[in-house]
Amino acid sequence: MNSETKLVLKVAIGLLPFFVLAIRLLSILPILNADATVGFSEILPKDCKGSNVMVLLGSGGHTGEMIRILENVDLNEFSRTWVTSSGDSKSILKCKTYEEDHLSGSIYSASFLSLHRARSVGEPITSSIKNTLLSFYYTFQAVYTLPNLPSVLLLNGPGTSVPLAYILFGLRFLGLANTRIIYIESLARVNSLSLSGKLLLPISDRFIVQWEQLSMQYKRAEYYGILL
Amino acid sequence: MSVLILTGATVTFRSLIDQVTSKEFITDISKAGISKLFIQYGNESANKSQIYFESSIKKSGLLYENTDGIYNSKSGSLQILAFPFSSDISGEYIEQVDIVVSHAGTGSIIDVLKLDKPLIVVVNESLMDNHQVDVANEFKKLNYCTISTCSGLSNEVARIFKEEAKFDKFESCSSSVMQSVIYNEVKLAH
Repeated sequence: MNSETKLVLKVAIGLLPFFVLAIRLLSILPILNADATVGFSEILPKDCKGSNVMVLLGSGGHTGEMIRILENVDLNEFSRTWVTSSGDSKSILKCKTYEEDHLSGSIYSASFLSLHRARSVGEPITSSIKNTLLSFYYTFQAVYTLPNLPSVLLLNGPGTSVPLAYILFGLRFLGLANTRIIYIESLARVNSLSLSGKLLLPISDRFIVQWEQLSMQYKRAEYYGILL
Repeated sequence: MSVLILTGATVTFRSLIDQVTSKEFITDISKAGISKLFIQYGNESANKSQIYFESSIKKSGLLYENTDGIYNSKSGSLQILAFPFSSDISGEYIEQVDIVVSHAGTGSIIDVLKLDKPLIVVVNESLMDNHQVDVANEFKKLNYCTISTCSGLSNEVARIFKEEAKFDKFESCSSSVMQSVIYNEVKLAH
């Protein structure tokens, strides 16, 4: 083997992991598998009962929309993980009321996960990059403590959606989770997506908007009317 | 005839509170034939909403009684009842009144439209990144509600009351859509 052949082989072997990672990413990126993603099931198969559904409650308006959307959904067949930001007592109260009103008869458990906020109220924003990294770190820490990872993550757009969704997507990339992401854009977004929406469009398995004019702008956006 | 004012539970809409506790507003809606005014004034942490509401009602010179944040007051034939928030706002208040004035929060708007009550939306222009305007305009275009400024509110209330304005019935999507999306995704995760 001459030195040139050796060099070519070395480079090829060196690049191989990157090709593998790229192929893995392409194979799981929902945006590249658009046709496969808009299905409905009226019945839940028996072996899916007890699966975990994780719901993120952002704050004020986002929580209000999510709880109203869930008024039309029956989560009795699933275990639930409610995620709130630390200190957001109103959202915790709302999901506990929802549990009492709708899920008191469920044989599956409910758990509550609190996400540490990267910045406390009143603290100056010294570095947004630092805060972003910190919120990824805190979210990862919180997800790491979970006994089992969710089958479905339900989000409706508060800023905390982004680290949570990307961490669960990262775990799926590594083959450590099967979490599918359902993103519902806020009813308040009529003509353009929110920043969270834009960032989560590529990795969401279902991307649902609540205004028809918004669904026209994005091929993957599904529209069924107002979900509240 | 009764009017309910929803100012938002998490962020109190201060200029709307100023408006609906003002002497002119109270006189104007009394003249228009309103006999009961309910005000949901908000639930910001550290009693901030209540402190603000109390200073507003004091400014207007109204006599009031306060029992644990529930304010009772009377001005001529108009009875006023104010409360911070309700965990069952639909059943306790929206269902009982004739006209609702609401901040442009999506949750409140939908709660009112679902009960088919005449709705006047007031947009809070002091909120940053204001997508509330978009959603209020969209609902107005669909003839689900009307929009008012704070200062024009008493006229709008009188107009809606007098004309018995007819709005279109709100339609949300088939309620089982999200259920079947969730079922489908759980199945695919398996």
